[in-house]
Amino acid sequence: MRRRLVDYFDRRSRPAPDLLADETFDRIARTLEESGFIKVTPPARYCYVVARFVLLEDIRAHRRSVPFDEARLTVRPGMPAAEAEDGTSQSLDCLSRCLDRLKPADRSLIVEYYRDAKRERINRRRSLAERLGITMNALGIRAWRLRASLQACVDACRKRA
Amino acid sequence: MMLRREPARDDDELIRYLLGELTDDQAESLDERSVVDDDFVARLRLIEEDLVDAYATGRLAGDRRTRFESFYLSSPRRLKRAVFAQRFLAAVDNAARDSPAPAGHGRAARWLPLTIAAAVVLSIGSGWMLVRDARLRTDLHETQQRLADADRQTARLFGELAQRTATAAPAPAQTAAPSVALVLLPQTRGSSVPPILAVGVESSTVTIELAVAALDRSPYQATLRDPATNSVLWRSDDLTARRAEPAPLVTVTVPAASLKAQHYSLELFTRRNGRTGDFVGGYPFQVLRP
Repeated sequence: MRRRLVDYFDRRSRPAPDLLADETFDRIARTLEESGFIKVTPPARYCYVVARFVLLEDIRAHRRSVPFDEARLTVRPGMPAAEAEDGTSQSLDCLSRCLDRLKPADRSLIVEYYRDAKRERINRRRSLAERLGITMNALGIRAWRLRASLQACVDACRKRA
Repeated sequence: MMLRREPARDDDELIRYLLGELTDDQAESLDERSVVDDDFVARLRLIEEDLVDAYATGRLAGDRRTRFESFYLSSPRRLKRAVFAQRFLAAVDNAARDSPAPAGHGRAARWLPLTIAAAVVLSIGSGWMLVRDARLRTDLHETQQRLADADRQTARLFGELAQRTATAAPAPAQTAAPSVALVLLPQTRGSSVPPILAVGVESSTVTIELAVAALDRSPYQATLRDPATNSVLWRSDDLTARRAEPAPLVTVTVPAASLKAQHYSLELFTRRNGRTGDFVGGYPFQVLRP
């Protein structure tokens, strides 16, 4: 849920999506403390409703505080995402290590799924799904999860280094 | 998880959603689904992944590419995703070359262990090590080439992005203000991640503005430091802060030739009687070059 909320705030171009997601959870936690339950079903909808309030408040607060020449800020400091561009060779090294750390079946899947992105991708993915006996969508989700875990592994590796 | 793949028309709507092209009303209904609906979340992630990969591999063209660069990459989190995609796809292609055929390929898969064993036996005493060494060297060289290509592509994209951002930036108001590539805030304990400065090949100087707490401490001097070696690479002349909201700014023009693709820190000091005075702040940043 946190990831969904962060993505939501990020898509709405808020400068600190992580903080807004945390603020959303804080408010939900306060409600739970006070009333002991959430009336809205499914509870995820309640998360969205609270997140929407947090978003609107942030937009208003941002207007009041006058953006710091925002248009000229290529990437603002203090934002977790800017770490993307950290040392390239270190990043590649970490990526290679993280790939090697995957279970052989997972590594094989991710390599087969994403390799040669420019050509014959659909056919290759279709035959991969057939071999594994799963649908293309299930395959896509499995590959996406592996890729997300790789990205997390690379982030952790770079922090350690 | 049940995931229905809806028609391509809806995929297009999701792409427009990811690129911030929908109206607020349209976006709001998708916003809610992006938090509440598991199937939708999964589908959105796959569409986003395809979109980012298309950009990373140069398959995104025209207006969609322009929109991707102006909107999608404006978020540091999403920029990070795009950079990762580029490196990831290069690494995967590289790994694919060395991977054995996928399991389940019938007879070929069953015979593979025997074939390998036979190859090992035959190779003993026949100069195998020399051949292997040569092959490893070739593989290593090719791997380095591929990674270097991926890096060059990353740098090129960032260069193009910087150029587009500069072109799209609003015209400076009346006075001939310098073309500012980046506005930096002083480093704080919580901000360990440096902002990025994309320097084009044709740039002779790069103008950076440093936010300071007060106007009345001028003049200042900026020094460019390589944090890896802790050496000072360049020093500015005396600089004056100018009034700006919400904080005064000191404009520093750094020779582009001093900047390679690496991390740097600009350090700002006050000047007193021609000597270096108090340390005002450190402004780390990272340079990317095509």
